[in-house]
Amino acid sequence: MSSVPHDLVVGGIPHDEHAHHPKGIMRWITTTNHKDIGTMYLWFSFTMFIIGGIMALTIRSELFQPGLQIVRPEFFNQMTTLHGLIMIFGALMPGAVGFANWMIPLQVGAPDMAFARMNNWSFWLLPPAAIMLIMSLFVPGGAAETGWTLYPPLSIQAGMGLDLTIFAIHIMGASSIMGSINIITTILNLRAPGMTMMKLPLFCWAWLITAYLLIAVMPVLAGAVTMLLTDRHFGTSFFNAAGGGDPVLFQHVFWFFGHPEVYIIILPAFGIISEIIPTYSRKPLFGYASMVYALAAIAILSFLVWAHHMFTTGMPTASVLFYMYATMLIAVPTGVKVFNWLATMWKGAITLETPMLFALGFLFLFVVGGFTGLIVAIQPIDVQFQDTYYVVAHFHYVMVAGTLFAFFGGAYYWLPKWTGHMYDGKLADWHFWLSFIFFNVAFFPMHFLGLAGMPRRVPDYAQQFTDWNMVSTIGAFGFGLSQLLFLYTVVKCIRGGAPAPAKPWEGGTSLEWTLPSPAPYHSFATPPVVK
Amino acid sequence: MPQATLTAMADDPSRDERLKAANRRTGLILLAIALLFFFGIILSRLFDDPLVSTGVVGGAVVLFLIVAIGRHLRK
Repeated sequence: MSSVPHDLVVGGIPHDEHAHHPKGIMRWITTTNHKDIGTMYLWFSFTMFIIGGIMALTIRSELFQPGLQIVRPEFFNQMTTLHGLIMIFGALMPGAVGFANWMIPLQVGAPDMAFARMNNWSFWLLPPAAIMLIMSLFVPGGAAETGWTLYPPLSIQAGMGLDLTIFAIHIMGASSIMGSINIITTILNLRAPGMTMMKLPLFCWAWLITAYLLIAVMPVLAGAVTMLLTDRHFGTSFFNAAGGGDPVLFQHVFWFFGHPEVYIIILPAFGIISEIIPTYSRKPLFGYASMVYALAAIAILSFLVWAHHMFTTGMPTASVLFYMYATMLIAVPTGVKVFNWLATMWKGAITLETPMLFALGFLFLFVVGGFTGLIVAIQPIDVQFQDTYYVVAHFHYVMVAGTLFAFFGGAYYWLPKWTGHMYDGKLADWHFWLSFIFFNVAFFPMHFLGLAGMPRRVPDYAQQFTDWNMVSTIGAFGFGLSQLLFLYTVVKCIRGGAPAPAKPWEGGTSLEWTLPSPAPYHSFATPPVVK
Repeated sequence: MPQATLTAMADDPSRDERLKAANRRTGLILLAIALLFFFGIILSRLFDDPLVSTGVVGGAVVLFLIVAIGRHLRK
């Protein structure tokens, strides 16, 4: 763990650099190697990020000026739905799994994931699901227009695109569950001798808890959308009010999945940040045990707050108070993490390499997103902000500036280990600064728009919202184009660059830094011993 | 750790078998829990009072999480 307070002893057994494996496309289709699969997850995630990003830019283009300019309202709604689904299930979750695949075996000293074949299967379920989701745009009636939440009764009445969406969610959910089983089993059973649970790198701890969350909630989502499917086609009335069903119950079940989902996406990011900050502060992580307990507390509390997404559906005062205070309570373990990161940096020998810049950007912007989360947790305020751009601003500060910035930081942090080359530091720094500035240009004005009452998921708006919408659209295009710089920097690093030593960052202390760079195709065939 | 000991650990077939069995056991338990929640949330809607039965499934999910995570925190 950049954070493991122990000495590492690694056996001097040579790694097999020239393992026999198929070449060309067959290598990628049949591979059971965790590094190959991790690489595929990361590229898949980036591809989905670009596709979801193009949809976001379509939305922002339409919103550049009031009135209907570029797309029809139905298509606009399809874009908001697909953008949400693709970014969550196609970009952020697979991105996190990509990091897990690459790094967990290396950090726990395992030769591979526990179920290597299932690992291959978990990944290869994703492309067909993603294709199905995108192809729903081209069926009669187009893609789902319900928003990513798929609320009935609209979702019961929608066209064939919604069926494809449901099947895609089923497949992606199955992939997530298989991936989670693999991750939990790897961490619990394949740790190197001497690596007790409280010596695990914090990235692995974050992923262990995330995987448990996934096992707990993905079946619930799968169950909910299965019931939706049977309501649509098999005459059941789980959520169909016309047959005695309860549409609000869908919202309860959905958010019982949906709120922990937020933490499923952010906890691996916390893990990455907990690796980066100690490394570039050249200090062990402050309060390791409290960081683990905070992760566990966040995970468990995340199951007790779902109805704060439903304050406007009406509920008894006692329930409102419970969900309001329980939501605020999450700020306590989250605050523990933020203060521990700050304490880690305190009096550290800090250097500002690109991963650290992204970690600091994460810290600053995630706290902004966290604070606006506290504001919308207050029910009387939430009633005003429900479905306004304030909420859009809030969750993009958590999802983009939180998770995505952590992923960028993690990518730069481990690129030397993955590729064997150092990345171009100047380009990477430019990537950070452009992303940081344009992100704020795109999303900060949305707070003002939301406060002024601009509703989300509507392609037109009143004239007084024009100026900030123009600013926001310019920021969105700037942010989108900045990511091409990331692509260029990564490709340049893969193709060449200064050779990376085994341990390019002097503050790195976890097991992956004991391996040469790039990490050999087969690593830790003999378990290392952790003292 | 001396290299000889490391090699012996890697080549120990009984250790590999034990590890595979443990992996299978962990995997199957987790899969069973996931299936239980999937069918549980659907079947809970078929009871007389779906709110209570759905609450029971939800409670089971939270309990699973507390037990699963909590048992590792003590190690």
